[in-house]
Amino acid sequence: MTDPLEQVSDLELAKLAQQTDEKAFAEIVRRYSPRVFQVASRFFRERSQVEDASQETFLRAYTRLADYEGRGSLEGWLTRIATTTCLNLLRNSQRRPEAEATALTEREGDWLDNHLASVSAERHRAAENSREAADLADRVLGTLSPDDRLVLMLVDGEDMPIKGVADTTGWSQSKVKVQAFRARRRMREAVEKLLAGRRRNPSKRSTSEGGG
Amino acid sequence: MRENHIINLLEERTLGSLSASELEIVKAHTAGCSNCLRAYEAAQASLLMLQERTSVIVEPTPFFQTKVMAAIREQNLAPKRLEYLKMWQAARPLVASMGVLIVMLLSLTFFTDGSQPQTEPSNLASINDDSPEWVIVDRDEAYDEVTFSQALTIIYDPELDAGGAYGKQP
Repeated sequence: MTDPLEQVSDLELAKLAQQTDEKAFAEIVRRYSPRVFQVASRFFRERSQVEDASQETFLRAYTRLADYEGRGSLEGWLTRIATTTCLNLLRNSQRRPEAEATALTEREGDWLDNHLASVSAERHRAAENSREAADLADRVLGTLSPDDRLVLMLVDGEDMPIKGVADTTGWSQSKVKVQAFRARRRMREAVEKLLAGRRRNPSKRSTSEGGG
Repeated sequence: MRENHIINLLEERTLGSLSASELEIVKAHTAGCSNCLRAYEAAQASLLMLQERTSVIVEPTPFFQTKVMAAIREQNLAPKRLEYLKMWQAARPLVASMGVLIVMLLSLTFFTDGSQPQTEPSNLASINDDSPEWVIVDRDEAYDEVTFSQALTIIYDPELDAGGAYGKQP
């Protein structure tokens, strides 16, 4: 037997939740937890961190339900809350030190070596070593500011238009452009250093799995 | 100047958004410029990393909804606890002053009750049988047993008053 709330529209669901209907809010959580998890996954890699950030997002949404007037979509409203929440959580956490080639795991180093051997994107994809690429991305993004990380993930990673990023973050479009420009430069410089490290000593492999 | 142009192009837009003609310009330039080649390689690697990273998405567990709702219920209870705490903090001086008052009243009660039995026997001890106070203390008993005429006789009969037990003749 299906829950009758599953048939209710987002706006009605939000109104019911505003009247402290717990079941209505539970339905919102069920409906949008995949989306909130997707947003949190941009910022965090560990499941526990993603789950904590998502829970925090829904708790904030619950306390701010009165602010939702139904002008925009409920999904957009929750996405904004999730983005702000994750950004704040990331700002509060300590930044990692600069990524160094010597601190890379064997697989991460291999991925960079493959990149040096061939700059063809197609060949990289065919290599099926996307996990290493994602790990490396986390390592490099960890050295950047949370704002840089966010804008790179949205604009370059997800191909989101500037207006969409502005709506999600609450920044102006010009700020998004400037932030993306600077973030790209910082990321490129960090990756250039890693590549230079591999070039200098291509056989050097770190045994510290999981990186430092 | 030429190098800056290519690097700026790499930073202004996503590498994937460059047109075919722009990519041709980049490739032609990087063939003769090692600095720009390194920047181009790094930009390509960055883009690949970001795309791969974006594809990593953690899915919610089936228990996530229950966990969130439990956290919300706990959060709803928290303000009530806070209200009780605030109420107690506001009422604490009043309760303390009331406590002090009660202690004072109790101590006064016990002090007075304790002092009276000590003073009464000493006062009574100072009263001898000849003193008028004794008559006053024992007045009720005397009135119970003696009629008015008997009392007059007792008062005005010098023989009966020889011991001075019931007062002196006026």
